[in-house]
Amino acid sequence: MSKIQHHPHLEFFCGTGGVGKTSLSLSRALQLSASHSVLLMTIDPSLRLKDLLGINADKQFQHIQVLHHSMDLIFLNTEQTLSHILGTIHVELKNQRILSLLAKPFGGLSEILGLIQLSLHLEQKKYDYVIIDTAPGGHFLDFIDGLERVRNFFDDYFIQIFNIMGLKSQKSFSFLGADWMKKAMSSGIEKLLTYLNKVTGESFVSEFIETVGHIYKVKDHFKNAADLLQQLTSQELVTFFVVTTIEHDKQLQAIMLKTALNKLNHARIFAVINKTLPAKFDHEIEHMPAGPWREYSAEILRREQSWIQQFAQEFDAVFTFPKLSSTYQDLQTIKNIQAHVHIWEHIQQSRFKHD
Amino acid sequence: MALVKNLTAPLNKSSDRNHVSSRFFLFTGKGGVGKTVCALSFAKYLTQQHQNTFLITLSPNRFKRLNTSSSEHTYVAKLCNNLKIKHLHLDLKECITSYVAHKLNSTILAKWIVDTKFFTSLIEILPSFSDLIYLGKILHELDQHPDHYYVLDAPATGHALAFIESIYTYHKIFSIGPLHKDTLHLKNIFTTAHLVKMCLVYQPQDFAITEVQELAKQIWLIDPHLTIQHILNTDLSIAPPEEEFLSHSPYWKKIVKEQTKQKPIHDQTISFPLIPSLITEEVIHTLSQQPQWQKML
Repeated sequence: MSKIQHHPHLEFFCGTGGVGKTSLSLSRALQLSASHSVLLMTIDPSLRLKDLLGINADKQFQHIQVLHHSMDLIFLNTEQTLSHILGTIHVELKNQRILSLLAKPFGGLSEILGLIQLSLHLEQKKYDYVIIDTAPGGHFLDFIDGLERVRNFFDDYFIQIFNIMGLKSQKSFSFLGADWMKKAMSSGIEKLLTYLNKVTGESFVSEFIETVGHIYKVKDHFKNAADLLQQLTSQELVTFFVVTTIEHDKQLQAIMLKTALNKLNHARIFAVINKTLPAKFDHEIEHMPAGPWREYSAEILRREQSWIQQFAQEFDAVFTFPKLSSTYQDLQTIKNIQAHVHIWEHIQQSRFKHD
Repeated sequence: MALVKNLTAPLNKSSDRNHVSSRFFLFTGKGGVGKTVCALSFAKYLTQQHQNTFLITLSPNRFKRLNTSSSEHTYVAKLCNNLKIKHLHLDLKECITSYVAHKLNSTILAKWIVDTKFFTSLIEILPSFSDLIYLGKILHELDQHPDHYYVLDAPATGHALAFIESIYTYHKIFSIGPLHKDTLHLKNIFTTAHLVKMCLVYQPQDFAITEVQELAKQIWLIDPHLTIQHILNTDLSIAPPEEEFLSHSPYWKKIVKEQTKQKPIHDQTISFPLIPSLITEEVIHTLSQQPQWQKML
């Protein structure tokens, strides 16, 4: 059972690469931190948030102050999280090779470890809002899927593997208890392992299984994280901002993300079109000399208007944020962030008054 | 050391490494910079010189990934068809099954194994294993067909790094046993000087630049001998709108001014202009005619 008593509002910023998830999640977190306690977490392994803030990501948890607002920050650190939870048991060096593979970004356990990292933190501290900057596109869905993956991982067929290994070397898996040892071998698992051994060699398969055994020893952490996600996404406290821009041909991806998220019944799902054209751009177009650049400008404007209309029907609402300068390495960044914060304040007033 | 660029000669395995031409191009970079557009443009360019040029797409490295990616490869397949580029799509299940079948000398057995829950979970939990399978398949094809050229529309930065790393990681993990020979062979092909080229695409935007700089460093840490090519896309300092136009458009004037302030990462960077069109096919077609692509070869 999860030890978390108080459940914060969860807000996810998702979408394809390069649309501005990181910047928007930061500005949203800043806007909220004026009157609430906020935790901003990035689960994007590229950790671009560190560049936006000009800080080091070595410390996974930090307390920061930007524009007179303060908030807590967590950088995804799957390796540290895995070390932490395995800290209580002894792991042989040979198993660490596969374990470290699993913990790496884009390794099989990285999303689940991200969840664990968050859940460990939420056990320690209370927040009104948790804002999450995600990894691009499909990888974010792996995070949501993490729940199912955890369940599958600790399900039947792995137990069967342990049974076989248990029979071969009782001491390794005695922690599973005598009952497990009695389970039947007729499922064909032993046959499978024999063939697998022929393909990969015996040591790899047994190393893999032993590695899984170690993870199984600390399964409570995984189960708590899965419970947390379950609780947080089944209440009316979760919001998804699906971010996109006109620059990329990615409208379909935004719609597909929405479709994938629809299964979370209580979620609010908003579309955010970032880097939009300035107001009165149609007037600017009228004054442009004829040619490909003018046509291009007109096309962008047309597409923007059509997407806003379309998304208004597909999503709970559409929000737009104007294109700002593309550099973050000077004072312009502070101005950019402030501009975005003002827009969030406006959205908060008009849309989220009753949160 | 003469660098003879003999593009049509078959790969002579025993010859001096310096005579090897690049035949496998891996396009990666931060999401949204135009990896797919650049990969397709280069593939089209290359097709004009070498008939057997293939644009490769990969299905997700997990069996259960939701359908967001299946439409992506269909989209690329359509583009390839319209642009007359040969397309090779690799499906994970097929690649693994054929490899296992090869090792066990039985397709039926292989199919049974790949369908078991245990094996599916193994793949789910170790996606880098799938990465290895894909890379193995491509390198195998590269080795078998000395006249073939492959352009891979690879995953974005972080995942691409894991992808590349899988060759080295599993070579160590399988240092004993039946897979040792195979992984060693793969590593040898992969590290043949200049045969494989890592094409790092970026745009004149800070995050994209930083990401490529970090990636180049990380690739160097994995193996300093891997060949890297920087590619700058949508560079408005090449073929910008005319002054006359810019004087009437504050929006574009500001963008051009900002971008011309950025310096390219690397003096060997190949740069491409921003093509003023939202029609992807048109953009690829125009980009594919840029002579700068020749520097890749």
